[in-house]
Amino acid sequence: MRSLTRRRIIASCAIAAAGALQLGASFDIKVLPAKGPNVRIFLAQADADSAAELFVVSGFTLTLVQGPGPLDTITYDLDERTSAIDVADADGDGIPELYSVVGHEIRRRSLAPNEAAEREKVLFSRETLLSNSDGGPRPYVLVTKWLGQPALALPENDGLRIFSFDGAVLNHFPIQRPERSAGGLRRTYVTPPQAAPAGALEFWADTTFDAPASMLPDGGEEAQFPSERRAPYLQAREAADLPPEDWPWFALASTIDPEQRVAYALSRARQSDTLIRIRRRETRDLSLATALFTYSPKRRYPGTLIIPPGPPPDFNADGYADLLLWTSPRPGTSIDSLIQAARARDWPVRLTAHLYSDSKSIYEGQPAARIEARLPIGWSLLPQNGLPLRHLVLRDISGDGRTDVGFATGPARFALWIVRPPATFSSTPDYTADLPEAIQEVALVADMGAGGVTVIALRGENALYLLSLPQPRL
Amino acid sequence: MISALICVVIGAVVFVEKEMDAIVVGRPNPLTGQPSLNYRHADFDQDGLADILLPDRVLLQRAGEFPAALSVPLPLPLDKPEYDVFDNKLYLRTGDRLEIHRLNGMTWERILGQNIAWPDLLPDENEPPGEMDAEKTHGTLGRYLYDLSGNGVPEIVVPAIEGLHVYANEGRGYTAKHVIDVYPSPKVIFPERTLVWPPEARAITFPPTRLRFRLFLDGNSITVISRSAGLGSLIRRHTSSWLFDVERGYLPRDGGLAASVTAPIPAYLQPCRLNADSTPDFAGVRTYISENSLVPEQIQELVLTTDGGKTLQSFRSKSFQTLCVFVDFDGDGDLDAVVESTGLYKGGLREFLTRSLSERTLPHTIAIHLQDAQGRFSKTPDLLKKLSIKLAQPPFRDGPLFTEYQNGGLVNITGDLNGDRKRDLVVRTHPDRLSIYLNENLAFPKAPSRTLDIAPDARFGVADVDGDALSDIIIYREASLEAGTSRHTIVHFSRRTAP
Repeated sequence: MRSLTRRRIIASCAIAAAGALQLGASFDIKVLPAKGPNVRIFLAQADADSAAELFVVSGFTLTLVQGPGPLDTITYDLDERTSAIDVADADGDGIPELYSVVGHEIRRRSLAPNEAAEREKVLFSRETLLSNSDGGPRPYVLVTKWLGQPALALPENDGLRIFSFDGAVLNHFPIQRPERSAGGLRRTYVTPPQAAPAGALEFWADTTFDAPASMLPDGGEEAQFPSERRAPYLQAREAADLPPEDWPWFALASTIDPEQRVAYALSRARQSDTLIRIRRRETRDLSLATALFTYSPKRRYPGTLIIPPGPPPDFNADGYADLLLWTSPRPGTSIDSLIQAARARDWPVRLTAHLYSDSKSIYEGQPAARIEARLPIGWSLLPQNGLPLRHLVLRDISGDGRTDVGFATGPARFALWIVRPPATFSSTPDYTADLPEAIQEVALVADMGAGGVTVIALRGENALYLLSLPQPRL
Repeated sequence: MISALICVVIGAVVFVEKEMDAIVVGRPNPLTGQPSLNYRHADFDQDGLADILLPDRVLLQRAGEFPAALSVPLPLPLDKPEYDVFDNKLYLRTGDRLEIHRLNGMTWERILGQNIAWPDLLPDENEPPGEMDAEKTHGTLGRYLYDLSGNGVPEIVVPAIEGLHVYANEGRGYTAKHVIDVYPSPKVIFPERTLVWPPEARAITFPPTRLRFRLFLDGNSITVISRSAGLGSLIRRHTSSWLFDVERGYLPRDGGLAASVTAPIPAYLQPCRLNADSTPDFAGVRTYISENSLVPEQIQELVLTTDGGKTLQSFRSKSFQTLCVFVDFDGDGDLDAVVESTGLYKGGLREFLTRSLSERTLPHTIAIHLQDAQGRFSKTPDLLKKLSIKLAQPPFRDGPLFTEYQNGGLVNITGDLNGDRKRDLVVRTHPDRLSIYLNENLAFPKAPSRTLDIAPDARFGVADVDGDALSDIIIYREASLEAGTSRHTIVHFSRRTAP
């Protein structure tokens, strides 16, 4: 770490300002320069309060983004040999430290701004599996507890070792790595050679040595039940012919009863429709030979189920997963209608939300809410994971426990619909953001904790855009 | 196998047609233009003609024929062996044994049999073509013989986790000699996303590691090519070479190391050998969909470097997947770039839709960019061949021929049919016709030099089946059966003169 700088940047209001085409209110937007695909973003506690802050690694710079309001950052330069970093309060002073693996060295430094002059300290040197990694610094859990005392856990060739902060080995968990008997070098001969002269013997090898398990800290518990078996669009299309036990599924109410499942498939007859069967516990007093669960009859819902990357949506905060489906009109098959569709440049997409009715034990046939949007035609022609939506966010952004819906409505535009009780959306997005460059990905959606703000971090080619709902003025 | 049925004369080439269902020719390596094969050549009966070694038998050649009566099953111990061949002798490696056989008349004569412990018996990951479906009832063709010492007696080389195990025969059978440990260090695979907050989500994990490299033995040198990730999507390729000393137990020689590191290059560029100089070359193809036009055009981009990544050359075209991007087109020993483009997207939106929905003929262009002595590829094509490819149905119908077109299976420029060392062109210009264009002074004639019939449901490949240095055309049909896949293959052998 070569330098520490603190700076306050007033976020560019020009970006957040409503454009001529913008329909909703503006997000609060913080812009953090971060170029390239190796930008990594993570949450950690940086001070004595219980809320998390955002940390961004871009190249060999670590940036701490502090609190709501104008962009307030502290940047730390990292050594170019840094492979892993961790932020944890190991010394118990209430202010976390930054731990890093730099080549063979394990280092520590304070994150406190008033200790900017403190030199980074090399705790000890040790060759570990992290010593020779490349690809830049990545967040990685290094600090743990051993017999109630803070310690460092480092992976080595023969297992995991626990170290005190002066480098003494406190314990060793041997891990049997695959050797000649357990596995081998997976190699592929290249005949005739590709990189070598004719007649040479050439092969390439690609072998991954998987570690056996994850070791959780004291008191950690593995999840008792799987919460989902999701399937991409194509598999869901095939599933309709299978027995319901083989359909993909997600938990109906993971906090109420993780064994109740929503099994889904795409209709054979109309592949844009979704078939739903709900697995429930068998409550009747039947013989022991009968299955413990039963499946409801198939119900068809118009539209294709949206399978979010995170938990399924709950639009009315009743604890049950709800359905969100999309439909889009199909152009005719004549050349003129296809040309007309292609020239339109954008294409309508409708999202419908179907709520789960606990009293009826089914999803309601009538949608409770609709979102109408127009998306670039290319996204319909080239769907990603079977979906014309890009950069979908299904999270509670407003903090009322109900899932809100956000997605890109253009290459550089992000829109958010806030769900209102009982479960409706407004006809236009509640918030929009027009960014100066195309959105590459949703890097993170994070609740900053302790009544804090939920941030949607969108990554562009040149910057990270931190979107949050405007905070009421005091 | 049936003897010659038809002879077709084209220019100085004669095609002799034979049924040879055992022959399977797979897709060529796109960076070398060399097809993958389920057979190898060796002269087991030492009559000066190449015989065909298959995973279960040898087909002996007699005057350009492979008579059924001269098919010799391979020795098959209980444990399915891995076969290799050196100096026309057959080597068999099983779980704990090594045997060497030579062909004596029509029977195999064992000249060595010994028990031996191997470090590793994982099969080659690269299944030979034709092996995917069927339950194997025979051995496999492997690669483990290499004459490291140059004394005419091959060493046995077995890659294992800890290094390259070398076994040598010093007159009393093979014994383990050395483990050459030149592999790079495995790299940690970091989790996609690690939570360091909240405290209850912090988990200590033991990360998986990955060992990834390319290795080749050439003469008494060993070369390892590995990679290191940089920031962003670029990587560096590291090439290290050692000379090893057979007299000192195959130890790498002191001071015999040569090492080089590329400038950052795209990760999809693979090591290859585009010319004979000592600088490692790297090339690769990426395909993507252009979102800049109304029509979602598929773009293929060939990127290459012959100077260690200092300069990158690229060729971009509107194209589906092609069979190969490099061949030695002019026969000078250096590979030249092949850039194909489809005419499906030609014109505006209306033309694209009209062509997709109602037309059966697709324009197709092949451009050749020759490599010069400095390793540079000409920016403008040295040859441009325009073709019309007729499909059975319009592209919109997504018929099997259009699928084959999208997989690059209708155009093949990998073969040398007449033995002049220049690449000739075979194109399925019609559903039932192959058109052959012989390379005449680095140009293709306007009209095909000859045509061959092909069944509408058949496919074709180009490879030298009989080992006479002339490429042959292989036409095959596959049928899915419960027990696997059945193939019917006809080889059109190229001959310089009429029989």
